Amino acid sequence: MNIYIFSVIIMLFVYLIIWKNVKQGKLGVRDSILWIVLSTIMGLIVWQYSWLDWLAAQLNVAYAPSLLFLIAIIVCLLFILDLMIRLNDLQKKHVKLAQTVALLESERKEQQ
Amino acid sequence: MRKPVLLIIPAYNEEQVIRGTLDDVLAFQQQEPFFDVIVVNDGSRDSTKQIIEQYVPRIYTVHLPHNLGIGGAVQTGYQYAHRHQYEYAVQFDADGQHVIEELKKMYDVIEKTKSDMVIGSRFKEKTAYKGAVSRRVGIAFFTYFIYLFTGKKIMDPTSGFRIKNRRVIEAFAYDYPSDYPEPEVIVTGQRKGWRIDEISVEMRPRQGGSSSIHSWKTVYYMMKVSLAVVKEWSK
Repeated sequence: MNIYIFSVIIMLFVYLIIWKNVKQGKLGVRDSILWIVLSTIMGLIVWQYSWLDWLAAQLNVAYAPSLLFLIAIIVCLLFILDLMIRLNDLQKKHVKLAQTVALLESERKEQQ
Repeated sequence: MRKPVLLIIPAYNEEQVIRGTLDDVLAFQQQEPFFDVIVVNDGSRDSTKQIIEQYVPRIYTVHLPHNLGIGGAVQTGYQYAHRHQYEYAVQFDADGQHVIEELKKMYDVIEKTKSDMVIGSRFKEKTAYKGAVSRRVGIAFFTYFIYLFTGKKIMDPTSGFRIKNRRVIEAFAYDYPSDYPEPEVIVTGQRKGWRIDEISVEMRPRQGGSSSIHSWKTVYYMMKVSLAVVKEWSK
């Protein structure tokens, strides 16, 4: 098996996992789009690897795969940033919820 | 019948000191019955909850389902004050650092000056307070850091012993920093046009437990508070 077939198998496997998780409600439809897009880009690069060579030449990158690593790292960092923003939002909502529950419980006890 | 002032005591694993603090506070309340007391148990894992429940109905209690940190606990107190329409709210440390007798002085000042917030300060005038040199240097840094951005010089910007009126209570009930809130909210107040005054009060060293700001947390504290000040100023 060469690396191209292996990459296509991985891509299809990623699609399968995403679809399964979306169906089970473990992954939101919004988030699944990101993974589908990423997986498709990976597939395109495998299918037309000359595109990566062309892009590397434009950016004066001597070794094209290192450009792929750079792009992958940047995408990962942006993804982590997005997760941190969403985590912070959830944390704030969680604090408000915990406070509201505690205050309601306290008022219920006071009324008894 | 609710009193005009709500004394908010956040407590997290304070079993060693909470009884002494509550005894002092309630003894003072007998002499000067102008305030109610609420203890916000911030998800303590020791016997703090059982101890404070022994003081009900002389105090109000709120038990948070788990530890939210000092900001979340104090904000719960402000939410309680806001829901019950208290005129003023005061944060009071459970560890025995704050002297309850000074509350009357702060209450009289805020009533007289109609300030939005009055800060009880260890450094406005010379007091008996003896803190570590490193701590004093850190506090002085924030005094001048805040002054640089706001033009307001608060000699004890880290003091949590503050009395606030309804306007501030409402704002804090809605939004309050999650940790190390004291210096940051001074900048918030300046930005919102609150009148903030500072008066000299006596404080003691903590009577038990350990400070949340130690070792590597000092670096985090300095960075977090400095960034928060700049963030608030730039809003």
